[in-house]
Amino acid sequence: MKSSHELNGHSIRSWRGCWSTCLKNLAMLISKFCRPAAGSVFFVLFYLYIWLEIEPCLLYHGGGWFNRFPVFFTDWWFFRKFLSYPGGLLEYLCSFLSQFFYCSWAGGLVVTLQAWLIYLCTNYYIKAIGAYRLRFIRFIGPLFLLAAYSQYIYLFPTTMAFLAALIFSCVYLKTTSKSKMSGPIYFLIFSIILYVAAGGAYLLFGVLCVIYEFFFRGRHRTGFLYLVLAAGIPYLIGALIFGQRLFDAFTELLPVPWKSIGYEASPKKMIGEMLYGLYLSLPLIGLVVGLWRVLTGRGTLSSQKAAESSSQSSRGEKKPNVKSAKPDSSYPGSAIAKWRIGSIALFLFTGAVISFWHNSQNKCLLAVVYYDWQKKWPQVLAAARRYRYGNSLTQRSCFITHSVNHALYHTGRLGYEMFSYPQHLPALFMTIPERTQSETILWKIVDSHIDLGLINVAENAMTEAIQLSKHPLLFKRLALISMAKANYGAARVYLGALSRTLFYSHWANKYLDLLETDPNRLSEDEDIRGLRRIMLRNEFAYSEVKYEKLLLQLLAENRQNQMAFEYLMALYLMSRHLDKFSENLYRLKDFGYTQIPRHYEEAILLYRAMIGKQVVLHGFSISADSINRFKEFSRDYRLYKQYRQAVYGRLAEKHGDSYYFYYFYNRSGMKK
Amino acid sequence: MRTRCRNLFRLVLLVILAAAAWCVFDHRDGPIERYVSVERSIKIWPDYSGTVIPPNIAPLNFLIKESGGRYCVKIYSKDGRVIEVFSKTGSIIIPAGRWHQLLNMNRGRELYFDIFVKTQNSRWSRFPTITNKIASEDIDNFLVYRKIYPGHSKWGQMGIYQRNLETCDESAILENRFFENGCVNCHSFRRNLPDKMLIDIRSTKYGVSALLIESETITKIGRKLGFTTWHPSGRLIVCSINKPRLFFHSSRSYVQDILEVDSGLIYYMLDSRTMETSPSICKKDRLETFPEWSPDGRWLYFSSAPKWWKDENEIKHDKIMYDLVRVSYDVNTGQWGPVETVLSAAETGLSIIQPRVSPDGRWLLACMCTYGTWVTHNMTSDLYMIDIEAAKRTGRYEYRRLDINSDRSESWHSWSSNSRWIVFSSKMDYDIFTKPYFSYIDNEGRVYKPLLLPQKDPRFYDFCLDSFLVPEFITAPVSKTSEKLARIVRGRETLTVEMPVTMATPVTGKSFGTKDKELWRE
Repeated sequence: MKSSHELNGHSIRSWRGCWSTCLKNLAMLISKFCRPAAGSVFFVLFYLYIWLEIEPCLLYHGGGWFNRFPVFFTDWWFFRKFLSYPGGLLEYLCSFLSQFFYCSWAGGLVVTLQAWLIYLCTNYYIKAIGAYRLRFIRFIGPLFLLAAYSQYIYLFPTTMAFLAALIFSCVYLKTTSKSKMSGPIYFLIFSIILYVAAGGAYLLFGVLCVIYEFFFRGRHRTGFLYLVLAAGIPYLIGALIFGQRLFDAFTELLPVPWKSIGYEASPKKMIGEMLYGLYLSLPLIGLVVGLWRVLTGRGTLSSQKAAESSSQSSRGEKKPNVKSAKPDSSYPGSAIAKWRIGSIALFLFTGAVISFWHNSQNKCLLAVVYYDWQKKWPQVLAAARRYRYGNSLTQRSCFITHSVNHALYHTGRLGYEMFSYPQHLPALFMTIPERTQSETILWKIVDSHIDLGLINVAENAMTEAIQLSKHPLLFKRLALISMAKANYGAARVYLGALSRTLFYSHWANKYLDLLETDPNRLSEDEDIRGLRRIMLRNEFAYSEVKYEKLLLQLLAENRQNQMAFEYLMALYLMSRHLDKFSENLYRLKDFGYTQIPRHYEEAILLYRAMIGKQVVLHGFSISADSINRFKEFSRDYRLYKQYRQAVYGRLAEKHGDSYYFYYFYNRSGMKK
Repeated sequence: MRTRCRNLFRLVLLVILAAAAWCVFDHRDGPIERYVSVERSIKIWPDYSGTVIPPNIAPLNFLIKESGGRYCVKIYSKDGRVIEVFSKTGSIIIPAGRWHQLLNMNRGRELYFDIFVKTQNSRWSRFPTITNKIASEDIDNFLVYRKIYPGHSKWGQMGIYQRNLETCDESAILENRFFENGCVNCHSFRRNLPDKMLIDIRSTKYGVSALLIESETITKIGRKLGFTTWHPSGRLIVCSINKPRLFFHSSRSYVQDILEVDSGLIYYMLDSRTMETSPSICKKDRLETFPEWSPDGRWLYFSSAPKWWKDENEIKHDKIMYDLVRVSYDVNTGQWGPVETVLSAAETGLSIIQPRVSPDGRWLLACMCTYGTWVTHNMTSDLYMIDIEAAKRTGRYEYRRLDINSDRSESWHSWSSNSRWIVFSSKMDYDIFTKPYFSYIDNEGRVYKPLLLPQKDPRFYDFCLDSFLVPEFITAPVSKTSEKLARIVRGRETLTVEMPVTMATPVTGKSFGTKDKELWRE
């Protein structure tokens, strides 16, 4: 009979055994489900981040900031262009997939799918070279994409070329794993296909295969053969058959600065360098692991496998499970801990990547652009409020201010709130020195000028902008303008092009039908009627746009052009031409104002104080609030006049949203 | 494995058979015997009706713009088999082989298009027959043009292309993507032959230059040559130096416009590789541009306008009017004669631009517009014809406006080598997008309804965003590849030529043509 102590000891041992088995099972479960689950969680979060935070639609609609954002037409002629050079097919595919950026959720899916495929292929290659401990490398691609998209840099074609090279490498490794002889044939076939489809990115495939054959399969002659082929195929196909220049034949779609990285003029925070790193990561790892195996005498993977199988067969052992070759821990606690640490490290690192590379300024800017195109005025103002204006006048701050004024006009607040935002005179019409040079500005002035009635100025800007970016947004506006001007031939071309896009064909076909059946019915269309009502009709030639003259002409032709009036008054206010401002106050009656807008009142009071006589108010009166505020400002200003710099902050805090402050300090939007 | 292959093979075979069956049954339309005749004429696009067509032109594919479920076109002439084309969409794509056979057998005869449309009630309607005439004379086989999206300050992709007019094949002579998106523009040939050619290049990276192609030799001249004309002997090229200024219109249909602030003519001697000029063609007080040699090489025609302003800010673009003038030239002695006015702007009330003389020397075709020189942008620009032979007899250059003009701009015309065809750029159908049109000219100088350059897809122009500029006929293709030419553009080897003038002002101490020194002093 066993003693209770023995029984207890036995039960404890059995409990321990049970516990240990449970833990082992748990570890297996974790390794079976949690690891992929960690990846899945990562990609679900990746998708949500791209969709909800990055919002790919901002890239699609980022008119002017992404001049080479690809356009896609569904016709054969468009496709044919891509057949004329190596890498064209992949560019065509990228053009197609990029169109899904139109909707954030769809664009997010495309980016996530791309990241996931990069992850899978990298993982496959890492496993193939036996570098299990370096499996974290598989997250480098997705993390790079996160960083790039957080910076709002469009590198889709280059990263797709990278992905194409990885996919082909994996397929090559898979198909040639069993047969020794078929390797070169497959390599040649894959090389030709990949080079024609993805251009210079083929070199990555070539290098990965060379490294694998040389170091991991120990086929040195095959490796050399591949090396020669990898160097020769771009020359033979690219330079000789496609007639490419030699440099292009080797670099098409590779991250060569003036080609691929050119999608953003100057990628910040080392994104460009990181792209090179991404391309070089796998070859370098392959090379290092291969050299390590050589130097440590481990030989090739094939020799290792052969040795293992021969020793097993000599001992009469059963063929081991391939998975057992993995350096997986048999200690459950250690596996869980490793998994936990790995997962935590991954998510911490991802968080660090996002927090370091996330560019909220770029996001604000693109959001302003997007909502401006969409005519969502309150959202324009909300996005602009999040933007951190610097102290100096930049193209970006002008860009935002221009949109803010546009939105303020459309919400009826221009005369009331324009000085609540930072204002610069050049931002009103984007009359900054780069105007004729910058595609961004050419894009920017389109909608505001169309709304003003300066159709030809807008058309000219679009005609120049479209040289670099044949974006449907521009086609749509050009089609409308052409129809408004009764240039039906040109309208047919723009609509014809639009009818071959993915998201605007319905809109275009509607107008094409109208043009075909009865162009006179276009005058019933609200948009066209609106354009015809406001557009400038008087013909004169000019070599430089003089806005005062144009706005006065617009008002002379159409007294009801309220936007022309408000912009004219804004121009006078910002250029401090208060005499001209006062002369045009009579026009207030044309637009049904019941009271004088706040900033106009401020200007009137200021002007009255300066010239010392009354300003004709044409039946309007100044509100008591404005008079009080003016008195307050005068008192503060007079009181602190001699200590201007010292009291600047206080004045800004109290009157930073007033015309007075702008008038004296040339700054606005200072009130907290 | 073998079974899988066999199954795969079976599947492929099945798909092929199904496709073949679909093709057979889908196109089983037999002869149309019962139909209803419709009186009104049918709408087709492009409008290939009632005109003269070249016997060697590519199939004139067109689109039937009538609603229907099925379309049929029968094309026939006196000899040869009838071509029947069926379509579900109205897009009529004519088989090229049979088309060429039919046209070749019936030169000088009528060509008929019987068009049938099957309406919703499954009845065929027959529209009145479209009749064209097949010319006896061929059109030159190739057309060279520049394709670019309309614009000025900026450009994206552009290039100079050659189009085989017998087929729809187009190939690039030089595309700007080969030299980092520089600008490639004005091209010219000697007497419709591709062996001697000039192309101007502008590139921020590779500079401003002109490519001079002489058979197998390509020379990069280190400056732009503007509008050029080859002397028929091939010994010299007259070119223009221009100082254009961009301006805009506040409400006109075409926004951009250009005026010449200064211009003059110079010439490049191919044997001595020097630039020279003469006071006859480069006066201080005049703007000279658009030179054109007569086929015998004895006369140089060009446009010339008085430079009436002292300060460039005084210039009023609509007050610049060009006369058509000419000077004689002796290629053996290098002697230039005095300027003779052929037709003055005062007489026509219009500015006369871009004179082009037919290779047989009989006709001179020019643009006339309300002002200035930049006819592509001026919607008033029309083509006018002058009978030079008649002028020799009467001493008076009579001009007439051609019926082929539209209310849009017609410009950049060129003659075929047999003087029977002209090609010109027009905005008649697509406003700001210039497209190439052909017209036949008979012995009497009658010009027939223009034909839009045919394309494989008749809808092509409805979404084509390119303007086709400076269309020039050549009789054979240019054999140089884009990359070969681009390598020269990118190369460092440049022929430096000293300019005899800085704009229209002679450079101190620089040589004019030796014979002209005295003339200049006068």
